[in-house]
Amino acid sequence: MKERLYVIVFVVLLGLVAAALLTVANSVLFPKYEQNVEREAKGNVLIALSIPGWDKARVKTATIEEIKATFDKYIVAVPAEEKPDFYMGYELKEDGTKGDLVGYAFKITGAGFWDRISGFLAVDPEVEKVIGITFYEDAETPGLGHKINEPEWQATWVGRSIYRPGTDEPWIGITPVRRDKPANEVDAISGATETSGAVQKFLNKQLKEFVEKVKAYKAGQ
Amino acid sequence: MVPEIGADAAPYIIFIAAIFTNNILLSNFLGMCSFLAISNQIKASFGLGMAVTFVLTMTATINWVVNAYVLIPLKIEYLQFIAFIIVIAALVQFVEIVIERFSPALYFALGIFLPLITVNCAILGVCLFMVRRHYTFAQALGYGVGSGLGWMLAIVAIAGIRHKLRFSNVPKPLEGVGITMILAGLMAFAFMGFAGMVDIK
Amino acid sequence: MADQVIKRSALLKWFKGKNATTMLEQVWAENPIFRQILGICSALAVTNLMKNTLIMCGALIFVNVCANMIISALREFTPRRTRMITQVLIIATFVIIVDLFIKAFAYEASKQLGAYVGLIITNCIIMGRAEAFASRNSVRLTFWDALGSGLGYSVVLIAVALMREPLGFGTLLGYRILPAGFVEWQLMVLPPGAFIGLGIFIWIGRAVAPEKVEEAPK
Repeated sequence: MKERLYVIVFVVLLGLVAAALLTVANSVLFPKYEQNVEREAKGNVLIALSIPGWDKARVKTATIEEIKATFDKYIVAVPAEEKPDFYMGYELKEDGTKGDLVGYAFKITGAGFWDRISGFLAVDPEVEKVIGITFYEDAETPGLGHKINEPEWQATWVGRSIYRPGTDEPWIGITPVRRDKPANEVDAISGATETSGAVQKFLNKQLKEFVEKVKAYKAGQ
Repeated sequence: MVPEIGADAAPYIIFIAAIFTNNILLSNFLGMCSFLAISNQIKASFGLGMAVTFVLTMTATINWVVNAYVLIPLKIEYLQFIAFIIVIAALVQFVEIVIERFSPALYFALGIFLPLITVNCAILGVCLFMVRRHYTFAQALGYGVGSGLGWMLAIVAIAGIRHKLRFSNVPKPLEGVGITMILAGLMAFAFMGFAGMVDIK
Repeated sequence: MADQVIKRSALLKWFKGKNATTMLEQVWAENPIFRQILGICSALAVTNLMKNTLIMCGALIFVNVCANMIISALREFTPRRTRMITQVLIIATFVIIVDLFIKAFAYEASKQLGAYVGLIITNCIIMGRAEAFASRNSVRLTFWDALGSGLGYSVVLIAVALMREPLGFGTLLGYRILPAGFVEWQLMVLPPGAFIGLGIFIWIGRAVAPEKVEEAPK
């Protein structure tokens, strides 16, 4: 009986000490991690919307304060920063206030071939064409699926229509390389059929949701 | 309750993928240590595989529930590793008792490997991957069962090949772990050919 | 001049002492990966990039040393029946600390390492040393044993990564080291390359330093 009690006391005590230690560690380190996540998300919104001067390299070296400051100057999150449906990007007037709308950006994320892929897609103010795409998280095969990060491939998205020709159904195809493609299709990455298919699937799901939300937002203005 | 966004795949597709295209051993490298010593006995490999499949199914589902209803609501996600490993340890203890009662022969054959299932990287790995991929309960179930069967498939196949190799002239330094690694590599290579077999996305 | 001689002989003496032999034994003769076949899982998963490999090795050494020292300190007090769960609990605590640390200060790497940092908990090396050494030896010796096995693990991982990253990406630590015309070996980056690479290293390791074959008892 005494032995049983000792065992229980020992394990409980150990558990409590561990939990205390971890709570301290968590409260110290977790905020820094959250900051990392925030800087990555906000930085990539800036990249997708082609905010002048912001590319991958800049986002990597900039401080969180810099990114937040730039973000606050150029971007408005709709409906709110905590749980945004999409982001609106603006030009800056001389006095530093927001000028014309440059475009909308929304998060695209889903299961890739190996692990999760995340990024942002940006469309023009009329919600008709793509103005930018960027990825910040993927575990795809280097040299194949990982090429979704290449600027050359991302550049092929700019100007593509987001609707099926002749309809108002939002759908962008990532299809095998071909000449004379419809305006809403981009070339898939050769050798990366799986990754291309995966991106096409989740991107279009989220594109559809975005178009509905942005239309509702615009109607409500 | 289920955060953000989950994989779109149906549970049975995740199940098939977990066996072939995303095999927990051949693609994610998990679960090697404990099996390396046993993998030249086909029958024992099979028995261990069944035990691991059962444990995986139970832990994937139970840990999903623990994560969704305890860790997230209480905001103690950082204690995830501890919670998961305790569930796993308790479950393995339970399985040990059951096997000892109902099949003493299997209990004897598995020996030390049974309690070692607790620290089999594949078990904890499946739980962690399930959380990272934001699976729903049904998807977690499919993933757990599929991973177990996939693991079993891998080790039984490798055991079979090692059994055939026992009369071959394997260089001495390569015997045991070395040749098993190369075998696993070739098998991983072969399994990569399954990619695209199911529309996993 | 005289103190240089003294310093050198003191160093030599240290190397022959119990602490050093305990450590060095774990690095080579009883290398956890070659000989004891422990900790393979992460050796395969993270070695396609040297940077991730180094972070993983650092994390493992940290957890191995801290957890085993505590396990050793508590060895007289730990009830026999709960030994395994106690060890796991202590190891898990340090792994969580390391995981939080990497997420906070090496964010890019933490994304690539993914679940494998958490899987240090089930890394057989730590549990293996806890059971075989820490639960029976002093804290001071446990420190050296843990440091040694951590280094032994690191040696193997770095060797494998030295093969996988240059051949698979043409880079090392992100710096291009192979000529631009070099066609990368895709295979090295993917699971088969990891398995086969490790198999080859084990081959080399065992060929270079074969196990002493003991006479079978009659």
